[in-house]
Amino acid sequence: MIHPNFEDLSSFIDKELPDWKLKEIEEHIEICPICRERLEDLLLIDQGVRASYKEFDTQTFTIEVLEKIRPKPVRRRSFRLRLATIGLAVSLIFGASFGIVRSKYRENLDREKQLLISQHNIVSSGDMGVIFISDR
Amino acid sequence: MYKVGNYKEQDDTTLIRLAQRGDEKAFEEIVNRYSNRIINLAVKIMGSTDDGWDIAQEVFISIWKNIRSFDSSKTLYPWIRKITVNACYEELRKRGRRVESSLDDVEDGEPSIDIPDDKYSPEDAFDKIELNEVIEKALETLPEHYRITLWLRVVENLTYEEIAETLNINIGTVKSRINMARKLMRDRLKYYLEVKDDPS
Repeated sequence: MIHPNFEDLSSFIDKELPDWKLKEIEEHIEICPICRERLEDLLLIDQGVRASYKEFDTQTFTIEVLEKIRPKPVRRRSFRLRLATIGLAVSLIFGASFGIVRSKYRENLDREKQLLISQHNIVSSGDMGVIFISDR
Repeated sequence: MYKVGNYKEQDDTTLIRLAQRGDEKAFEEIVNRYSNRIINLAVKIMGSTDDGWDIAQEVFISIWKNIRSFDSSKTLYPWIRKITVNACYEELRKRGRRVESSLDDVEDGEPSIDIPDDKYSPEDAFDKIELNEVIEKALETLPEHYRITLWLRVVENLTYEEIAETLNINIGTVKSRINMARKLMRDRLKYYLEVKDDPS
């Protein structure tokens, strides 16, 4: 009597053998207690592996997945806040423009004043357009 | 649009088509339908419940992102399973653990592998734990490539060909991994199996 080897018994459980071989092993097992016992051991192991499948409570799992796939809500600013932001931006732009224009005007004024001093022999000048002419 | 209660009655193809149009409820039903199997699979590959849950969550998020690319005429679950296996292997690779998925890493007649036995003591286990728990513990101590192959065969009920396709290995490797897994399990459970046969 030739006993099927371990690999054949394993493939026999999985029905991954040609039909003739499956039949041959099946017939052998019926008459061979040793191989029957080996086969039972393997089936017991498979049964235990199957039993290690767990039924998890997946309710929280599903909720977490759904939370993660949802696009993050975009924060909408209130009308007042938007108005205030626009007002601030306009003020800044206006203020900056005014500052630039003013400084340009002053530069021009200073240049003209210098020109006047050099042309008319003026020794000094004061604010508010008052000029002092020297006695020379 | 379907009523909420009706999603459960829909087949996968309908749910996929709805999800592809952005229907979150349809996707929720897909998650409900397969999360348990995917968590179990990921936990078994990763060897840790927490890691398995995290990976399973990433898998479903990735499925939602890529659902439009899925051909709805195909079966959904094998696609999800493959994504799960790949995600787990990728994570294990990142952690620097050895993942054997090449064609030539396991051959017939491969010498027995030295597996650390510290997690499992048959004598203690038999006294304290039920049979299935002993087997589960033995399964946990298998190297991951044996564990996952045996799991796909026994729990997921895949043929050798389907396992080969899922793991990108050839059928011969599948066969030898399953044989080796069962051999290692039998050796680990030797004490219990002998006692079972001879209770005196």
